[in-house]
Amino acid sequence: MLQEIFLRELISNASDAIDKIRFQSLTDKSVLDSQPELFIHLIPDKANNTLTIQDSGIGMTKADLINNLGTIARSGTRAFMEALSAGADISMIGQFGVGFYSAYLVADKVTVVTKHNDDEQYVWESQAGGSFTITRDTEGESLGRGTKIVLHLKDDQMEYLEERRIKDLVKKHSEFISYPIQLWTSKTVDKEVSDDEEDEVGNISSDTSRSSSTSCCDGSSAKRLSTASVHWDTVCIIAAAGCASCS
Amino acid sequence: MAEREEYAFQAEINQLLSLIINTFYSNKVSRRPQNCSISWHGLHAIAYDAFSYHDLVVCALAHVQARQQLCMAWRVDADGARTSGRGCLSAEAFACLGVPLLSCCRKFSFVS
Repeated sequence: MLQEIFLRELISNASDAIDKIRFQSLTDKSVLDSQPELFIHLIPDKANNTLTIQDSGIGMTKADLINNLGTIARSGTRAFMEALSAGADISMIGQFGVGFYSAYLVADKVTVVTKHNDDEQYVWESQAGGSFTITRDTEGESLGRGTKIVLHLKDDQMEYLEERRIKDLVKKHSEFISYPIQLWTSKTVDKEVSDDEEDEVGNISSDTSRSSSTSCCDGSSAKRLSTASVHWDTVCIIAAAGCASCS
Repeated sequence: MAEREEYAFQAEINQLLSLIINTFYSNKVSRRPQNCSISWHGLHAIAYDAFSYHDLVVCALAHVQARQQLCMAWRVDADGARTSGRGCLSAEAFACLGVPLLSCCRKFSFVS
């Protein structure tokens, strides 16, 4: 499906943003102080039907947001539309420098939260109805540095919340990204515990639920608990500088 | 939350967004025909035909097959012989070939 290229484009943009801050850090290491780790995070949220792509790249100032995401057309915008009318397909969008807009292939609303070292944190939001809004983010979670793109997925695009689908797409289109791409995943683990252990586990994790109870031959009872654990699952393929999980 | 500022999209960007939303996204059906099938023989004929309009033409044609968009690219020399040809991804072909690919595709556009 052609729509799937949105993820490649957004990951590619994230990688470019990290390249920029890494380049700056060669002459001034302090630029990384706001967020020392260089990463790309993918966070599917089935409760809210959103897919978030977050990077710790250079981020955007308010002026960057206004100029880059809406008010100043890059030369590639017209060129891409001409190419489309001439028979090119949507997958070429990145080559024209307008890959960000491919987000609207799968989302009906896009929210961009961004923080640049030289400016405050801002929120860009649009449902593509001819306008977008920009708000200084005083309440949201601090990014430190970088950009978070939240895609509010269309009703029939929920497949992009599936762990398997996202992993496949990353492996298919973003295999050679130089930074760790990590997917926020939830895993349910069955574990047999005694009554004492059950109390402990119950205190630690609120996502723990009892699924069954069995009696052992020695008379003691063992309970089987299903524990939903969430963690970062590194999807990137190549061992990149700064990617401890892959190297 | 601080004060919200509203901006209008620049006209061309607005046009692009409309294109993306209305043309490419339409109930999971892409704009490109999915059942297009052109034989290798047909592709070669097209390349040869294109040659008659250009001294040296690079002809590529997207071939949609099993949801994979493939291109065959040929460089056709002065006597019409195929001097090189290989399969590649459409984006890759475009990156290498640029506008000639598009003009040829347009000239020999798919029939949906």
